[in-house]
Amino acid sequence: MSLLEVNNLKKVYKTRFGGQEVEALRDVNFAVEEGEYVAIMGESGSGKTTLLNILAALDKATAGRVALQGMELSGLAEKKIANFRRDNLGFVFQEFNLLDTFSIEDNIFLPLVLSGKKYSQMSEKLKPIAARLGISEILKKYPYEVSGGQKQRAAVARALITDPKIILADEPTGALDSKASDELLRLFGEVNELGQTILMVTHSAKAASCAGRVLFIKDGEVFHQIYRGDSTNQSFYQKITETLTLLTQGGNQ
Amino acid sequence: MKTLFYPKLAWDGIRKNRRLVFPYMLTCICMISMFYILLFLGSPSTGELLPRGGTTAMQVMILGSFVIAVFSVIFLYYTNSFLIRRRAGEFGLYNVLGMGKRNLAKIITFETLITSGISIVVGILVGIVISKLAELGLVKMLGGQISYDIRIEWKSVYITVLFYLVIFAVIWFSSIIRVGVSSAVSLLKSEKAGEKAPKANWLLGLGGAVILAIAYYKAVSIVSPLDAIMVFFVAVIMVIIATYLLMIAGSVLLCRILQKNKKYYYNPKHFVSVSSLVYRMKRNGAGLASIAIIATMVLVMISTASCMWFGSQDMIDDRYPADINFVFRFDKSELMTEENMAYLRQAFEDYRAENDSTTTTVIDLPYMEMSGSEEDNNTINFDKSDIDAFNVSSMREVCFIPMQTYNEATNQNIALDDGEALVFSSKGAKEYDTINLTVDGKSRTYKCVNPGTEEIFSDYYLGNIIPMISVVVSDYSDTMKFFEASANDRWYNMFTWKYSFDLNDSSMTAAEYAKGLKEAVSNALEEKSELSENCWYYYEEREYEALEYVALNGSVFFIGIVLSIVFILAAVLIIYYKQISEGYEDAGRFEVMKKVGMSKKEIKRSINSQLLVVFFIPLVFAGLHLAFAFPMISKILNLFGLFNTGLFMMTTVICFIAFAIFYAVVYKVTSNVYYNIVTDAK
Repeated sequence: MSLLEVNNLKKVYKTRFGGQEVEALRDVNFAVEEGEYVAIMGESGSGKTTLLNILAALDKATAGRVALQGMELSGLAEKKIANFRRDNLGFVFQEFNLLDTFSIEDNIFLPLVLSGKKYSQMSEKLKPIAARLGISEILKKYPYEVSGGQKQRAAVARALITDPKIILADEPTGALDSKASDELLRLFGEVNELGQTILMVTHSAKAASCAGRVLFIKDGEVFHQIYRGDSTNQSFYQKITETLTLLTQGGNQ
Repeated sequence: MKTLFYPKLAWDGIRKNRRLVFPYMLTCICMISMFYILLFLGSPSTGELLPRGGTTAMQVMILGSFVIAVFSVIFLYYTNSFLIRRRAGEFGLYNVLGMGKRNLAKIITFETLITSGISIVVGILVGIVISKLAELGLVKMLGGQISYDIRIEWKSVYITVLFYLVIFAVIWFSSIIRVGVSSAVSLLKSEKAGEKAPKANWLLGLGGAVILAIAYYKAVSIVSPLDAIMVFFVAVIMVIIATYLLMIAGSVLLCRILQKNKKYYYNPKHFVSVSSLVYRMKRNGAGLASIAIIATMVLVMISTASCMWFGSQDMIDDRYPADINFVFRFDKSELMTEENMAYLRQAFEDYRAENDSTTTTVIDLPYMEMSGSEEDNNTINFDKSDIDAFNVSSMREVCFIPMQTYNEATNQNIALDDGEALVFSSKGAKEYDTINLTVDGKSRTYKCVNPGTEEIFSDYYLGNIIPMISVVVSDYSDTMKFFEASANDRWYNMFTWKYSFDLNDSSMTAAEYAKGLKEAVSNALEEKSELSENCWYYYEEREYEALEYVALNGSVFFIGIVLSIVFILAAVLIIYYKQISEGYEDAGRFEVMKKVGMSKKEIKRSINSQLLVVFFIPLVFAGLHLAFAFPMISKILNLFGLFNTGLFMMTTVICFIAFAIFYAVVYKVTSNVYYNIVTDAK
């Protein structure tokens, strides 16, 4: 059994007034094994974000099945969804989504506090993570006082601190400069090597080239996937760009 | 069609922002119509419908219109600057899209024309309609003649239109300046400004608490009504400053202290609420303080005014204990003899018999009145040089009453030994065991006998605010002579005889009776040569004097209601705008929380607890302020002759409860606006 299984996933949006329907996801199928580092690529409008929202249980699928460790998301009661999200998923967003009302430390603690953990426990847990992410010095600062890269690392720390089964990252490098991007991708690689499963949505080929597998989505379907295998980042990057060119130029498979 | 471009853009701007602009216009309309109504009621033609006291009522109305005028200027200016700030992004966008400052100014000009035009026209129309109702209400309260003609006071219309045109022009000008000086980017960003984490300012926070404590202490520790008036304004200013300091700095400080307590802070129930509250309070501290101040103001005003209105009869009965009240003053003590008083009594009796009426004597009281200053060792000094006119708190009014009079009035038979006296203290004077009354270095000392319960002097001269001591002595004429001899040209020396009676059965009205009686008494005094030169008198007829009280209290109550409506409306608008701006700011924040793993329920609970705190803070502050102002205001009411603390307590409590209910309703409604914004924005 895979960690994450997605079968025949379909999502149709209706415009608010009137019956115009937009098919964001038509038929998506894939699986993520434990410890994998998967990137999902696609042009804007291809349905990436919709997919991620459904995986995160932020949105409901029109049809199809999503299961984490065999547990179906669609079967979760509304009440339990928040708990599920908190216990099993870690999020990293393009816009960091740190709350400006909290210090960096409190932002990281937020999911744990919601689960009712004690301060001593939380701070024990934070120490190694903060050290690894290089943010021990800025824990007491507020989001507006630190750089974008630091914010994103804080967001990663917030995602990691709950020991999630899977980290969902939505364009994590989208708002970062190249130096901060590299740093973040290096951290993702490190974390993944320690066994953390990561699912990242991106349209940066460079970011995707750090993953172990890349899924390409087009018109609401998984169009293609490539594995890194033994290739280096460089040659994997080459393969990805080639596929992307094919994706934009080529009509159907 | 090009000429209509800007008006159309302006109209669209208003329509798109109706959530912001309509309430603003509604407030304008309300203020304009209230202003017109008060001017209308203060006009001479309304005065003609009112009985005696109509002039007083008119003056009160005009005074009220001044208050509304000043408040309009401040409040509409404040509200408009808020509107402009909120819409800065929109103007910035126009600017980026290629509109110059001149074009923006045109849009703003047209918008101002539209909003102010509608406000003034509708305001006047509403004012004209309601003014008739208001007039009927006022006339009914004060007991005048009711007329059902609809009237328009053109002069009031002119003044109202002119005044609000000026206000709107000033507001328009300031908007133009505001948009003119800022760049496109700063306009676009101005809504996002101020995201810094507020720092706890110990100095300001503690300062606020200390100032409030001092103000409260001052308010409760007042003894005499005269001090109350002086302390009142100081205390009001201190309380206003303290409220702002506490709301802005103190609240942040409190949250920071809570955050220091790890166990409390890192609890799912408090974590989000406390940290968000810091921001909320920083942004809304000033607004909440304003709400608290306005609420306090309204409560003080309406509870005091309603207490005065409902206590009118008490005031009148206290001030005028009988239908007809005569007061005689003799220049020399030797004229204040039983014989002379009997002579005058006979004049009253003759007149009564002549007119075939029956009367009941209510008060027949000779006394001597003096002013002195309270000193140590139970001493009251009557030396004029020792009385410091600026140190009013030590001033005491002392009245000497013959033992015999007291016994007759109370149907008792108390006999005093030498050097003994019955001593009654009232209006904040202290209780005495022994009392030294000193003048020119000579003094009389009395041992105070427990006076029992009956004080016959309590009804006397309630307009007098100085603490009073009445001393019942058996050697009355000796006492008079003692003080008279050594006390020439001092503050007092009032040898007074008070004679009051009810008119029970007469073909005449009290007013006619009193008028004729006045002639008779004057003649009687003329006939007795020693009195004609050295005795003077005045009389008060209750029914006639009462009209003045009713007019004053009635119009004060009326104006209290009108001003309360205006102020409450202002507070409502502040709350409403607060909710809207918070809604937009919080929408993004709650989206994040949802993503991080908060359930909708948790988010809603957190919103609720924050809103509730923010809701209760102004109400709690208003309640506290009101509670501490209570003793002070009830002292001030003494000055107006109202001593019924129970009544004041009742009106205060009722007003507070009514206000709290109204406030809760308003909050509920505006909270819905907030929820809609928070859940709408995705």
